[in-house]
Amino acid sequence: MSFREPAIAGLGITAQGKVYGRTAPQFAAEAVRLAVHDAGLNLTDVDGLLMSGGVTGSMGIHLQGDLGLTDLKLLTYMQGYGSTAAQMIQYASMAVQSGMADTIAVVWADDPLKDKTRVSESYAARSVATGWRGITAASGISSANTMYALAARRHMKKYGTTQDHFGHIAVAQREWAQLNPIAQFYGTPLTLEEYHASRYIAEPFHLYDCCLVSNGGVAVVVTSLDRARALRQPPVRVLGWAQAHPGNAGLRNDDFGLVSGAASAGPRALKMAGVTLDEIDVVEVYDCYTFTALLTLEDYGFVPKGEGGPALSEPGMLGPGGKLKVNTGGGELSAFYMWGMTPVHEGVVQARGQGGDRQVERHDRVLVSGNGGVLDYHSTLILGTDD
Amino acid sequence: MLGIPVRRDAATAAFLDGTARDQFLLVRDTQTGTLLAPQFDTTIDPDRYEHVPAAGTGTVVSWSVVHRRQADGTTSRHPVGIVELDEGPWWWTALDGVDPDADLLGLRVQVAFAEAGDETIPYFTAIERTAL
Repeated sequence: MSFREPAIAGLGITAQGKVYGRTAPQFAAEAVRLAVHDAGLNLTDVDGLLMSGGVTGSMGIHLQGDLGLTDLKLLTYMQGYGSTAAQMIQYASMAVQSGMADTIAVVWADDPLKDKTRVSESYAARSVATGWRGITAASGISSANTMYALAARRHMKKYGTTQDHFGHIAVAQREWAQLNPIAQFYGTPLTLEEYHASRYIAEPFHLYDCCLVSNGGVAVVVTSLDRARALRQPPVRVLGWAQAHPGNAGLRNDDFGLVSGAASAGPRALKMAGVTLDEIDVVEVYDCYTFTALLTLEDYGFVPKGEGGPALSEPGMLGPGGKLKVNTGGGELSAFYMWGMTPVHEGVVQARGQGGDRQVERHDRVLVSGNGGVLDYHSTLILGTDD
Repeated sequence: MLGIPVRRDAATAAFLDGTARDQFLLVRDTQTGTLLAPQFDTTIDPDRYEHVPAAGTGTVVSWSVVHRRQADGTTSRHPVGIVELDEGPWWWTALDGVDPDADLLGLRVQVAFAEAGDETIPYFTAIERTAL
């Protein structure tokens, strides 16, 4: 069996944020159409469809019918929470490599926001459940905000990480968002003082430590590099990938809050890609919280373990013009929250060189991360420009 | 505590039977003697695992203070944490009677029980202050 190198040939994104009156499958269908058109293909060219969705649970393999797709060679719904988007691209890449399918649409969509409903209710209401989860929720730990706050506190106590360190990440990403017209916080800068003055959600997290909540969808088209070269957009090669799912986090003394799956997946993804860390030009990490970005950057090795707080707060480190090009679209904190598709989207934009005012000069190699659960699930992608 | 009614399922039934008796049940591996978290699924080998009461004491290894906006516009603060039970397993729980502005790492705590609808769930209160 001869392997074909995979590449991302199409990218589609719907309107993001407080976009009401549409379901997740409707967002997904639009995103797929946009991605296919972006590639210069037709829906009839699609022979594989991988999908996932967020909290509303309305996404499913009926999307094939919604899109009118027939005779697919690959079709499934996947769920690895925030790690899913990068995972789907990994499985699509393997399907292309093996010849199982040729043109695979990969899509994620969600519609948690409802008109005249508080954002906090969009997630919290669904997080209360029976069983163990119900006991935890009734104990006052009813949202991911609190669970990640517990993780962040461990890091703070062990390594001396401070809220000021988190604030520098929030401010830097907001600066990037000012260069991204589709960011929900485009036109709304943030100072460190405003960060500290924002209300607490779950200490140590302020409001601006926490990601946005968004309605919308994002899709990519994965095909072979050879085929992508003949299509409309600059191919984005999928050079390497890995996953890491520690398991049983938080049930007994372990690295909960101190080490993420990035520490394991990062080196393996880089090895597959034949790339070293210092060759990475752009880093798009999953940033459901400022802390998650900090932890992930430590675990990939961009900053020393335990020193992420002070290192990332150094002047000239983050933000536009900074040494580390991290979350260049504003990320989940300041652009939009499409779970793992947020870093994937910006990674593809940057690798293509289509970032407009926020485009970084060197963008040959892009690292993308996905993170799901409460640091339970992790995925890494290494993307690259066509040499 | 949120006052949310807890609904049991098959996985939590034995644990909630214990809390109804004011017992915090762990799972014991009868082959190794290891004490496992309550969430451990004993049905994979019912003859090997048994439920045993924990001492009910532990140490805070992480904490957060949840802020909730009330209907009158005020905000209430609710300490929660991860407690390392003296037997080893961790338990994510409400912390009652603790100073939300204090450094709670290393705080010694003991279990108490509260009604949550038709069920009873554990929470933890401070015993004494010791450093880790």
